Amino acid sequence: METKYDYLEKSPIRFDAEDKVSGTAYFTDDYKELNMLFAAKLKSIHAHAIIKSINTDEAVKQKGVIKVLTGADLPYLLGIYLGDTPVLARDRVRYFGEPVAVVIAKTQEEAQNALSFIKVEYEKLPYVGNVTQALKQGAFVIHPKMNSYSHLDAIHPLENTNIANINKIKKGNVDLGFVNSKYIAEVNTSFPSSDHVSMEPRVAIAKIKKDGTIIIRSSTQAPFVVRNLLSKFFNVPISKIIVQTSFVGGGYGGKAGIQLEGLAYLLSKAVGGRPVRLINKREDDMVSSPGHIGCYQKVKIGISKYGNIQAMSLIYHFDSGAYADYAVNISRAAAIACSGPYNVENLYCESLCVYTNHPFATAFRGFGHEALFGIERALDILAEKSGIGKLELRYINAIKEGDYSPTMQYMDENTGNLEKCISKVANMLNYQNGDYKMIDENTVRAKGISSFWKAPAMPTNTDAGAILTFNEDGSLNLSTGIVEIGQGSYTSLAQIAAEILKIPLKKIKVNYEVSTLTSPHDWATAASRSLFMAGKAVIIAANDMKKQLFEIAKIPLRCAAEDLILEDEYICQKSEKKKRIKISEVALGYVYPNGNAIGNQIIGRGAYLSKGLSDIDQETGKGSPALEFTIGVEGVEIELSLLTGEYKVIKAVCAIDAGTIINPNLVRGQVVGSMAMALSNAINEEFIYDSSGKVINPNLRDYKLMRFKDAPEYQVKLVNTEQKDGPFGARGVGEQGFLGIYGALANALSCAIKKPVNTLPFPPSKIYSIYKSAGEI
Amino acid sequence: MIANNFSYAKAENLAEAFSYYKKIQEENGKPFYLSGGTEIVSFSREKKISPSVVIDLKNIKECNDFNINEEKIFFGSCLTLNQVIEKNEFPALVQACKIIDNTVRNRLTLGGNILGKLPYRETVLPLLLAEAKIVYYCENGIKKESLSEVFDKRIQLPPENLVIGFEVDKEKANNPFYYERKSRAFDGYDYPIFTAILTKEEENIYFACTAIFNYALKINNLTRFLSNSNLVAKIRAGEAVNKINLIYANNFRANEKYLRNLLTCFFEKGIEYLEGIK
Repeated sequence: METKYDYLEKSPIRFDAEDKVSGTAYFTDDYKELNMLFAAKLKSIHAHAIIKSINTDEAVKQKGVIKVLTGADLPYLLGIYLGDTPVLARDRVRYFGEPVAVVIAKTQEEAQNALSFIKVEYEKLPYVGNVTQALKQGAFVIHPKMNSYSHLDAIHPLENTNIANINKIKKGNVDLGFVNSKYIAEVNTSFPSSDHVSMEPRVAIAKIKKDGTIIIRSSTQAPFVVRNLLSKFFNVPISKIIVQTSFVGGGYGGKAGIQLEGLAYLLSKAVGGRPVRLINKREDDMVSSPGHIGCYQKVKIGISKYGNIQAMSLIYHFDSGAYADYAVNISRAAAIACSGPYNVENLYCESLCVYTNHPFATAFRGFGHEALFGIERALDILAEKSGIGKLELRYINAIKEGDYSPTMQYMDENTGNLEKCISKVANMLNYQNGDYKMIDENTVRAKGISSFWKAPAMPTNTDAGAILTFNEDGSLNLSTGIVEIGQGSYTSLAQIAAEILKIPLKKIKVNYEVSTLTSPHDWATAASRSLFMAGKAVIIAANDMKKQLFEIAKIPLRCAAEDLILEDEYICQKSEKKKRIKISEVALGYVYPNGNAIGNQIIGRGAYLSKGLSDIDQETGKGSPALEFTIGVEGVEIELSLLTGEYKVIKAVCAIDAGTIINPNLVRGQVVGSMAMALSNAINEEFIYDSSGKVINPNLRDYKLMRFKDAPEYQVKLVNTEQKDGPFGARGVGEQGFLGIYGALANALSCAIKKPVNTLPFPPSKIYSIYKSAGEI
Repeated sequence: MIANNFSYAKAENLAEAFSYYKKIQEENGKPFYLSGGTEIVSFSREKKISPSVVIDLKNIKECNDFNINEEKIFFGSCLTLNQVIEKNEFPALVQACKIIDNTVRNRLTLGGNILGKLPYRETVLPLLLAEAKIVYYCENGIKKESLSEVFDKRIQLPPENLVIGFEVDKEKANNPFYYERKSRAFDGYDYPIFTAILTKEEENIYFACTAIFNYALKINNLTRFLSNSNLVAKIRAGEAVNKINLIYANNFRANEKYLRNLLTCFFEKGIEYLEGIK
């Protein structure tokens, strides 16, 4: 790649590669504490029931058991947006897998073993099995005490209903828009609840020092959020809490917010502050802890004779499961970006977050923007109806600079280039050869495409910080509050520091250990914002260092600071580069030959705070919630047997407008990783319930993910519309590659069998049954 | 992690394993024979089984044997699926061994696949079709009898009887065959919804399958429909499927309508394949 940079737009090997490949990287569970105790959770066997009694008498007598606790012992509610979640179920359970009791024992085996001696007596309550049932007149109200829950202002729960949040977007005149439409498509689509299946299950280790300081080590994406929520819900001063984390083995949103930390703290408190490790078994991680949200979409789109979208009406019903957690903000995020990357002047959206008796949902790669796949299905149907090409229809309606987002945010010069992404995807898929081809009498090849976009849905005052320090030899140490969750941000952040300070990467160490005690404040490693925000902070910190270096160096070099530049680890005079001093001679203060010292050690300080953002209006949805939109297009090509519905994804492609590329391999890694995760999710992943709401596949025996063997050929092309307020013009790419896959695959399958495929997931038996069903596309 | 304690015993010979198993049984314990351990570990984890003693068979020579001569091949029950694949002497069995993934197949044994708790028992299908003999150790010492005599959904022998291995005629092991295995979505590493084999001996086509009807079985009464060379494969396939009077699996992985369709396609393709290679 031709580049004007020394260290950017290049793909050095990740800083954490050797540790991870050799198995020597330390994850939370690798840390052992002296006198550590172990905890295990007993899970509810019912989806909805009153807890009549819990008898722990036998369990406490088991070998090694220190303590058995139930909800009655721990009367606390938690929740990042809405405080509705008991740390252990009290009085009733609301989903299959909900923790009802905890055993603390001397070993993990003893804790686990004692669980089977706890006797719980339940009385079943009506099972609210989906959002339709939950929204019905007279539906059983899952949270009758909603009015007593604390919640953030941005969330709007409706008492005496199962609605945890409601957001609306109203733009233009939708009714008139439909009147002016030549073609109208209506489509109902959905995706079910599923799981993140991070390689590392969640784990937290808590202890309390004699002075009351709470120390939590956790597999968290959000140590500062954890600290804040612990303080808020347990009424402990923030100064008394330290949250630490090191490498996290996959987050995908599932380790944002607060997870096991609250319970781990209470367990340590119950045993006098001794360290307690609370770890999820895989089965716990899948249903007991929160997963991927489900959603029903009712989409109606009208276009003019020429293909311009005249009106769009959207109803999103998100299945939050038993508790709100992040789901209430996911439904809000979906509303904020509800139109997809299209210019829609007449727009209506109603996005509900609905309680059911399913395992609850939290943040997940894509954060609700995957609901936009309904729009992509409708666009394909409109293309069929109008005879306008599928690519062309998207091209005509692509959002551009000068348009307005659904919340009436002005789309500025940073708006990504959807048209370029469409044409790149068309090229990669050889779309000029059409999207449908019979290979033999029973085999079809078909292509499908989908646009996507995503804006981070985060607090309006989201921040990041960076601290750079020098060592004696002029090498550099970088600390931020970003957690390494697999994304590789630290390598990019080091590249940014190297670029500004002209210090080679091998002389930069990054601090993967994040601690609320020593790391600069950081909102959370979520919302695809690590590189964007911490990157900005690193730029400021590196420039701060540079300025200080020049201030000291100008004295022995006898020139003005503005006459200096950095080059190859030297501070040089611009006009006469021979006149120079090594950075290492200045890094900790300069010492003259006679021993006199000047200056001092140089510490680089950088910080970022998002500015100018606002929440959205409850009635109209107007506001400025989006920091940036990352836009792109994805496509897949499949080969499908009409005899059996079996198909293979041959090719999956993505063109994404990522702005300036700091590290091409990491961008590709994020995009391909997202695509693989989405393909697996779209083809096969879902929680399956029996008639009483019990999850029948809460383990990896029965819940299968796609493996490399089934991976298609992946192609990624990048578009580079600079994000002027991003670091060197870069924007976030952590999640977006997930978002177009649902639509692209649904469209390819619909094209292949000439019947609408709208309900995820898409195992071959379902495709066959749709193919054989009556009715046309 | 297996939370409950259990004892581990390593047997050095058949008699020792057998008598120890009996002893534990008589003491009202719950003995399990152990070879690869993939099921014992994963089911114990979920508390679906809780052995009091596991008796390791890996040191018993006979159970690890692989013998081949002019006429017969013997597969010890403790051979891992990967070992059977590497021996490569029984093509249909090799195919049937290609389940799950390489890592698991390095542990999972032939005996475990056939005698375990899971209903699929894929590897028993080619053995049934090849009219294999089962060799086992019982009260009266080593016994050999027809596998199909003792197999009905699973091996119907008293649990203490220790299956040493399986013997097949070399000729039958090399009969032409047609095999398909399908899962709900990702073939290979999910449980099967459909595993089926057709073999051909002289002009006759024989059929065995698992998962489709919830368990492993050889269906004898289809042979005359499948082998009726007066009719084209498509007709024969339809007739054979109509002739089946068994209950299809019906769960989140598959349903009757889909399985019937897969079976019809399978018969048609299989017949054409087997008759095409004459």
